[in-house]
Order: sequence, then C-alpha cells, then structure tokens
Amino acid sequence: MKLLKNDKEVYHNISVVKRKADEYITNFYFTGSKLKDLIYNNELYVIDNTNNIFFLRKNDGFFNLYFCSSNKSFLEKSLAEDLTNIKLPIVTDLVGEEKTIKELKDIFIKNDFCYYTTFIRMSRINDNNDSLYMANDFMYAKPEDSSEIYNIISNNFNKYSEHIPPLEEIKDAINKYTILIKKEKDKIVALSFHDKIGFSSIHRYLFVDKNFRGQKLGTKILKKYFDECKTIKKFMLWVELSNNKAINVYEDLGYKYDNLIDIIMIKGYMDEKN
Amino acid sequence: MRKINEILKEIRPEFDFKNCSNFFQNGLLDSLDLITLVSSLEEEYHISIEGTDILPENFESISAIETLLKKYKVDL
Repeated sequence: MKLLKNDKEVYHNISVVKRKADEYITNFYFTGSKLKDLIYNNELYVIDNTNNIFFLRKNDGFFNLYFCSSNKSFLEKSLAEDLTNIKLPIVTDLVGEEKTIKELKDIFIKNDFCYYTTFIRMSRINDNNDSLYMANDFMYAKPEDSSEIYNIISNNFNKYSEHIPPLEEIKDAINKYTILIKKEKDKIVALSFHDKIGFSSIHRYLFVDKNFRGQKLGTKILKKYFDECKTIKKFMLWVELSNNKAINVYEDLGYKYDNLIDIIMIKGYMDEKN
Repeated sequence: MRKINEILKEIRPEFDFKNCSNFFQNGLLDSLDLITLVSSLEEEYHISIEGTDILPENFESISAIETLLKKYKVDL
C-alpha cells in the first residue's frame, strides 16, 4: 500500500484498469479538486495491479475502501489477496440501484466483509409553492459554535456510515451559512447542516436534542432550510433505511425515494455500532 | 443514437442542460452522476473513456462532452 502523491497517478491507474475491462465497475467517484485535496492532505493510499485498483482513504481509526475493477472476478480476487496486511477496519460503500448492488454485496461477503447498514437517497424538487416556516427561532451558526457542533455530530452520528466532518469542514460550512441551529439557554438543541452547489443541495445532518423532541423541531428547521434555499431546484439527502421516523418526516416534506441505495460493508470491525 | 441531452436528462430529468455552461458548478451533476454519465456514454457510443479523460472539465457542458466524444471518433 503506498501513499498517493499526485492525481495524474490516479487517472493513469484507472486508465490501465479500464483498458483491460470487459465490465468495468467502480465506487471511486473522487475527481478534480476533491481528489487533489485528498492527495494534498495525505489521506489517499493505493494498492494496484493491472486489473484492479484499491484506493484507501485514511479515516478516524479505519479506512474507506474504493475500487476500480476490470470485472467482478478481478475484484473478488483482489479482495481475497490484496487487503490481508491491513489491520484497521475497512469500510466500503456500494452505491447504485438495488438490483445492481446485490451481486457486489455477495462478493464482499464472500471475502470477510460484513453487512453494516443501508442508506437510501431521497430527493425533493423545489416548486416554491410550499408553505414555509417563517419564524425566527432558528439562526445561522457562528464560528464560536463550531466545537459544540462538532461534538454534537461526532456523538450522535455514526463514524463508519455518516462521514463525520472534521472541525475545519464545520468552520467552512459556518462561513458558507449552511448550518442552521436553535439554541436554548446557550445550548444548541436543534441543528440542520447542508451542502449547497448551484441548483442542488444535499442535507447532511439533522439533529434534535432528546429533551426537545416531540415539538416538531426537525420539521421546523427543515422548513427554515427550504426557506433559506429558494434558488435550489433539487434537494437530496441520504437516510438510514431503518430510520422510519426520519423517513416519515422527509416524506411529509415532499422527499421521495429516488432508487439509489448505499450498502455499507465492513471488514475487521470489532466494536458495537455507535 | 440518443443525443447527449437525452442521456443527461435520464440522469437528472429536472434540469435544463442545454442552457448551462458548467453542470458541476451549477449543481446539475455531482461526482456520483459523473460515473453514471461516463458509463452511459460508453454504452451508447460503444467507446471506452480513458481514466485520464474522466475529469469534470470534459463533462461540464454539452459542448465539452461533444469535444470529448469527437476525440473518440464518435460521429455526432
């Protein structure tokens, strides 16, 4: 396993595998500036041969695994042979339509990966006809809230499946006005964190303190988010399939399942799901 | 053969791709869509796009995609 030093190496390696491919499969979607950032931050490693590349992203006590394979047989062979020296847990996301992912999931299970959880993507088209929540009890987070927000997200979301953002990313989001909060007695009791790119927005984290649940704060803060994103045409989010309560809230707000799933598989995982 | 716009509309039906100069900066496509787009173009035009060409700038507009496809001798 070697640390990647430049993005050209990544594109070259992918080219080599693609030239050999009769059924190219991948879950590696980093490109452009995001890829450059990962390399610059020394986060991305590679294990490559001519028919399969594994990219491993160093995370908090585990690796995220991405693959580019000529076909499923080469993926299976590499899963069996190329990951044996890695001692930390390995997490991979299998993203796609349900029917196309099942076979991949079986290949990973055959090679010592365990099923962890499934997320579904939901989306909502903005018709600007919504009755929005206009009250002012939510506000944008400020730089001094960043540590509290980091603690809320890292204590209430799952590091293997929900990509906990580092403090710097939270500070950056605060500067971009993409975190809404509600405070009671100087403590954050509700939080909405989203990304916004052009006409699309992905909602990433919705949190309501357990002592303030049952007041529809989740719905209210999401309505405030819609209100603050009037130029957005498409709202998207990923939600855990088993989280019926959240799915019901999102459906009530106009989100619909859009046929994309993310099956999360883990190898070498010992702890209880947090 | 389907037109590029039809392929794009299949991925994100809600957007107007014809009048957009940068699909990624304007949020019409994301990195996940890029993988789908590459795969759809390869299937539609019977080509294999090199890894070195899978860069956002080659897929950021209909004209950029046309330029890329011409490189692969696709008769548009």
